[in-house]
Amino acid sequence: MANCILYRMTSDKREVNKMMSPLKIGRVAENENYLPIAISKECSIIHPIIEVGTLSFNTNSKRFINFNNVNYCYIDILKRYYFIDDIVLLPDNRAELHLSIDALYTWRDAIKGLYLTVNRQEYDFNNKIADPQVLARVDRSIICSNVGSVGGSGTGYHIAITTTGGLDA
Amino acid sequence: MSTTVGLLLADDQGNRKNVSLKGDGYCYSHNSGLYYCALNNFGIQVTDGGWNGVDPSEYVEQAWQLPSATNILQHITNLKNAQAYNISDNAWNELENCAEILVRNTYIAGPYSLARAYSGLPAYFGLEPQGAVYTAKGCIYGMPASDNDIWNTVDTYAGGTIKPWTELKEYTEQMFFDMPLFFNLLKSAADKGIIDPSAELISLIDTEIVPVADDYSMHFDIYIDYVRDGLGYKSTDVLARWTCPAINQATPEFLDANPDYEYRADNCYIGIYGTVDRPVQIMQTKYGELQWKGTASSMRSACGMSDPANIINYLPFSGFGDLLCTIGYNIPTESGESDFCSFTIPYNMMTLDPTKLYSRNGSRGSTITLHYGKPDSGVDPNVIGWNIDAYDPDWTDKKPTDNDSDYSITTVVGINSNIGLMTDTYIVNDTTLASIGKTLWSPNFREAIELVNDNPIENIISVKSLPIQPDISGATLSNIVIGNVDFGSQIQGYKLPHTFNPIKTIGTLKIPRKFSNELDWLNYNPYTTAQLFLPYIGIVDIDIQKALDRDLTLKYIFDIITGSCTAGLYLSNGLEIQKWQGNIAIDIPVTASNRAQVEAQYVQGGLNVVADILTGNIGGAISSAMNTAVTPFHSTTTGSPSPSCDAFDIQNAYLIIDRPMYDRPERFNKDYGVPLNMTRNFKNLRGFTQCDNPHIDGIPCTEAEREIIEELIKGGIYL
Repeated sequence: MANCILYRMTSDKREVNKMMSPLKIGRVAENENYLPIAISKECSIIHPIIEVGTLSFNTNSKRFINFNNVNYCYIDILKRYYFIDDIVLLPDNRAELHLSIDALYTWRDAIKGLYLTVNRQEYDFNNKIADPQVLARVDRSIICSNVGSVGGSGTGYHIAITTTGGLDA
Repeated sequence: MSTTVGLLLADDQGNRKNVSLKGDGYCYSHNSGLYYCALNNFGIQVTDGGWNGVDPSEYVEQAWQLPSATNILQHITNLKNAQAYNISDNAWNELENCAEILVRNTYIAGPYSLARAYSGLPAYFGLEPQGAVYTAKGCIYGMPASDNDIWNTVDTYAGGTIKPWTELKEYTEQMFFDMPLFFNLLKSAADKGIIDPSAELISLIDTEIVPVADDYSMHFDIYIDYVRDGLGYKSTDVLARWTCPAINQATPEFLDANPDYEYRADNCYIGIYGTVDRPVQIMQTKYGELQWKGTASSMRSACGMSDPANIINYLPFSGFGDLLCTIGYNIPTESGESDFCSFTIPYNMMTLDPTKLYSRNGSRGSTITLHYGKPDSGVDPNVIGWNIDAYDPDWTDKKPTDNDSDYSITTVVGINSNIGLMTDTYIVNDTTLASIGKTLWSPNFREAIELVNDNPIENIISVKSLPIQPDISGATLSNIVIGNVDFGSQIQGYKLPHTFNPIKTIGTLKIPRKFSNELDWLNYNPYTTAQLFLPYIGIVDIDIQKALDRDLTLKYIFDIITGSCTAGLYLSNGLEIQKWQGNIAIDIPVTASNRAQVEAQYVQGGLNVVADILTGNIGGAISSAMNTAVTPFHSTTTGSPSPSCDAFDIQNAYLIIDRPMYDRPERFNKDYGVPLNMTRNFKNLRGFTQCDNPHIDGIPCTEAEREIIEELIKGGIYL
């Protein structure tokens, strides 16, 4: 039997390490997080559609699964993690979950081993490369500083007369 | 300076062990009786013979040398190897002299640690991840409930935006004294009543108190420049003078304020930003804590400043903070309007760096430049720029170092004396020149000179008016001699020696970096431009790629005979990196034909002025990676400079640095990343990472998944 684990996931989809907490279902004795699923129609593993029961068994009385707390799931037979895109409620306490794969988290260990040319990074950088993302202000900082006087009016003018040296050259 | 913060612990046998944090930094005694210590590159040392026969100091030696932030993990690994001195092997049940240790690491600011002593403050020991800042806390007793919460929930504390606790936990368990075990022992000791929760801290023991060095004082004058319309600039003027002795000992003093500038009472502010352990909102202390002296004293009451108090009361515990002083001024502009500007002084106790003095702009294009200097000893003419961040990453260490000393400088000596060997040049005044003119046509002179040639005026090679004082140190007051006629003692001038020095050093300059870290590229062309106004030459561009951050000297070489001049920009080793030509002398007409030439020169000079206006490249476009507003102020002069006009222009050479303005969004690096363009292993990276052309292999995923992963990495993922 195929099962899924429902999660409340709070991370950005671009995070390789995602923060999530599983929903306790209590359906399977050995794992209270497992919820049995059925694949009711033809679908790909990228965007699967699964059918689940909507009742939780983690208490003595059956309760409706709180789908407000669920946006992510793991399907054990596929060994993949999925975003829950949509939940379609069906008769007889059943629901259809429309999923799309989280390839980043599913293959996170392999991705962390990649060796690639990184164009932009949060902490590591090459400070001699111009950054096209930088937006400067329209005003600019113009600073003037005195270097020194070449001569100037402060010392007045001076007349130089150059002559044929003659006797004195 | 090396400083040790010592903690004394004792085991159940009464054996005492010293555990020391040691690093670069200092401690000082606060007037409240507490000690504050700030350490860089810390290490941990356990003395008293070592524990279990292992001397951990050999590991500590490594730990004391932390070259970069990323090596903090290696540092921790080293400590893990030193677990032979694990405290769990010792049954601690007595602890004395509580101290709290905070150890922090951040990828942004570099590794640093903070040891902080308290009396009766929290007792918990563990890691508290806070974004990119990981904090290890430890103390001995008196744990408030709120801090218990932190400890008890630390496993789930990694929720939300906080970095994963699990990544740190593996280090935590063996980091330092096996923290969880250590904590349990401490808590157990408190529960058993061995430690009195209400006990007061007596003192830190074995702590070498190193006073703050006098070097941490700062004295400087604050100068103001502002830009007028067009190409004119107001001369630099003193705005205020500021001094602050060692900050733990005295109160900063505002020595003088220039009464020519109107301050704004509603914009006076002084406060301290705690950059580590106190958020800005808490540390803002509006007004006060500043000694107002001299002409600044009248400003104090008008600004509503409170009575002077020791500013150390407001220092952040960590010692990592900025002292901020903002004074608003009304600056009169050419158009008669008032402009507003203010200055702000960041002060970092650990690294007082003059390059951290800010320069800020006023609202109407005025700029304030802080000059660093000392009272009574003049002002350093170098303009100090603004560093966004003092943290210097490893990358800058990898820059190839220039070695200018490889160049050998050869100069031609005595060439000027050759030119003057057949002629004489005299420096005379107006009266002497008039006398010469009159004597030229006297019968005696004509009779004598006509023995040599027909026209006496032929013996006058040139008469030039110079706006500079030639170097006459070797000149002698001599009779004017023209050809074979000596004019006698009534007509004398300073005869320049044939070897007079035609080179004049105008001054020194430096184009400092304003942008650091990942924004260093903004210091270069075309984003930052530097120009020099050179009298008698014009406004010229400086090649920033050659000149940035170098000590430069501007020299003029004058040819008194021809009137030409050359300005050269020299490195400190004498190498000339740029030079420009000009003409400094105004010809004084001697004959009719000569006068016509001179008048033509005057007319041409006027045309040049028009040409300057027409062709001045104010706002010329440049090729830029920045999307907006990168057009620098840029002006050039064209045509031959006319000394007859330039003599009425500014006689000072001045440097114009034009930089872009950029407001860095706080989350920019996290949201967009910064350029790297290097091959990296993802396992060594953290945070936003983006690759334009990811080559995904070694992952047994489907092709569709591979495309998804590629697209995500192209857009940027968070590792």
